[in-house]
Amino acid sequence: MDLILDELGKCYGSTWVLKQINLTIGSGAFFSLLGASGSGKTTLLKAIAGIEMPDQGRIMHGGTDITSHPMEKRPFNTVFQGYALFPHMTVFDNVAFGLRVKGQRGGVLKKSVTDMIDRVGLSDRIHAFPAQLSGGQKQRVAIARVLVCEPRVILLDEPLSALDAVLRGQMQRFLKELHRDLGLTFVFVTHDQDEAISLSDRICILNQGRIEQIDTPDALYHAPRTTFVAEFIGLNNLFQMDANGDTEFGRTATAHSGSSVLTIRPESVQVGETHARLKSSAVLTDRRFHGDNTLLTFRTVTGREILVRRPGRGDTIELGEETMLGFPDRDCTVIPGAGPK
Amino acid sequence: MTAHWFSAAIWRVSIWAFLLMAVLIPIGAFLVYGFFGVEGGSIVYTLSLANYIEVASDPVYRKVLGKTLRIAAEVSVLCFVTGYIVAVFINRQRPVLKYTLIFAVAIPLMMSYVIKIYSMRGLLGHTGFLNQFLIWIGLIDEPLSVFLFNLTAVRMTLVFALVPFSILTTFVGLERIPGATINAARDLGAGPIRIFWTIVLPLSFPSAVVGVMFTFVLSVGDFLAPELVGGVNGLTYGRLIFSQFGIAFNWPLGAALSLVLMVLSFAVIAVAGRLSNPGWLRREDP
Repeated sequence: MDLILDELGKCYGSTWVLKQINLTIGSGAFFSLLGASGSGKTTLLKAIAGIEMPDQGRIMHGGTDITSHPMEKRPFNTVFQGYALFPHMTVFDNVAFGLRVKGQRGGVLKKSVTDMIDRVGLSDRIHAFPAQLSGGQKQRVAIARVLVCEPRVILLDEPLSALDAVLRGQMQRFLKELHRDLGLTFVFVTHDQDEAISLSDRICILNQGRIEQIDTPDALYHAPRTTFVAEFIGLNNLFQMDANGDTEFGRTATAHSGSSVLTIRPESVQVGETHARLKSSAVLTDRRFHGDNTLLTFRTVTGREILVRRPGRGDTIELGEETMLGFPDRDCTVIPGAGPK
Repeated sequence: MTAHWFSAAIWRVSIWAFLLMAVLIPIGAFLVYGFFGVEGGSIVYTLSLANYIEVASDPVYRKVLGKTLRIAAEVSVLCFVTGYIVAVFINRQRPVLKYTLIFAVAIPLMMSYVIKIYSMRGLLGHTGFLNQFLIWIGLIDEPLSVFLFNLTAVRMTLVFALVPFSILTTFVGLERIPGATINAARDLGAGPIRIFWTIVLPLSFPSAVVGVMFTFVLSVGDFLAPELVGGVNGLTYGRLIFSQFGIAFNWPLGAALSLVLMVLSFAVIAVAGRLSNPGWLRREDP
């Protein structure tokens, strides 16, 4: 039961907020839509949910064209941003809502609902109203309300963005466990790349209504295909390379036809003695300690800032001190055809 | 610290003083007047329970009160239902039209009540719009005089005058329902009818009930509409009170009659207050 979006487009007035969206979400995947605000990720989720109708293209689910199906007829359920719980209903009635719509009554209903509330750990709050719950508890109710309907696909619209860091970590673990236990398809919208990377099987990166890249978190990090992705995911160093493999720091062996961009992650940059072909002398201009690692900022003789990440407290280098930076070929990623940076 | 305490105290004292002067003293005076009597057109300041006994024992008063309460209840229900339908319609419009319509609904509230009653007479009267219209569509040949000077005319006039209260309060309640809440219900498979009964109605009811309170309290004490369009059957409790003050000059009896109405109104306000603040709106545990 794959979910396939085929040439999907959506416009408001004359502005296309989604353009040529082609993607396949495999059954049982944890699939994230990642992008900054205004990237179209929420609009895309709403198109899948049926809240927004696309102006172009098709949505297929398990071989059926569901583009024109209204949201109440789609086998998907949504966990809304801000939860959208029914404020006049208790936790029990909120969770029971979907099953009552389907005509379930009596003991069967009661058992399914109490089991689900138990599963999300809210048994002692079953008769509370949403106004009496904490943010994390409301989030659990919103998830339980959707899970109890046993949808094929669960759509989550920035479900964790309103929670504080500690609670967000707990909820991430909870979501991951749920996904593993239930084997359902999760489509997860977020602007938080760490969240997307740590939770997802595959991530679709959106930029101004277009897909930049769809890949595994590992591939997005280590093999970005566009400069946008290279800069969007994690910290990165980018510099220009011409057709001969010449860069401002020397010539590489990984030449590529036409001009391109070379990227290297902060943790792969060598500091001090180096045998790399690409290297530069640089001055340490900033040092930021993050506990388990230290982020160093260097300025090369060419005037470029280079980020370097070292484990622990980092190298014993003083601010203003000059050293050599090396960029080993094997750790550099080439983004072909990328314009001048 | 001291200055803060001092200004807070002044605030408290002024608020209570205002309440005392504007509300409690007039009500208290009324209560006391009910214990006085009348002889030869002037008030006798000796205390007795005679007026209250008369109000409680005379079946005419009870009958008129019963009739008035029934009319007020019917008017309130009519206002609630029509107000609800209109508010739902208005709430569905695009923002500019929506607020224009709501403003249009509020305008009549700023106009004189007497003008509204007379315009109702113009609509329902012998040469009024309703008769002209019925003749024009060929339903009747001669203008009818059954539309005016009866209790139905009173009901219609009251609904006409009071329905803006229902529309406005219901609209406020409807507008407060977030779109995401409706979408969440649709997402779980609910159709429009179920959404109305299980989501929209319960969520807007606390606001709408405030409108019911307005329409009930205002129509139960009204004496102008029965006076001007009620005809011979139009003796309502409000008119009864009015006649004690304005015609019979029996203020003590009028005060005793008013007290009954006041107690009833407070009861209605208390019930409406409870209904407009349901448990789910409160933060503390049930």
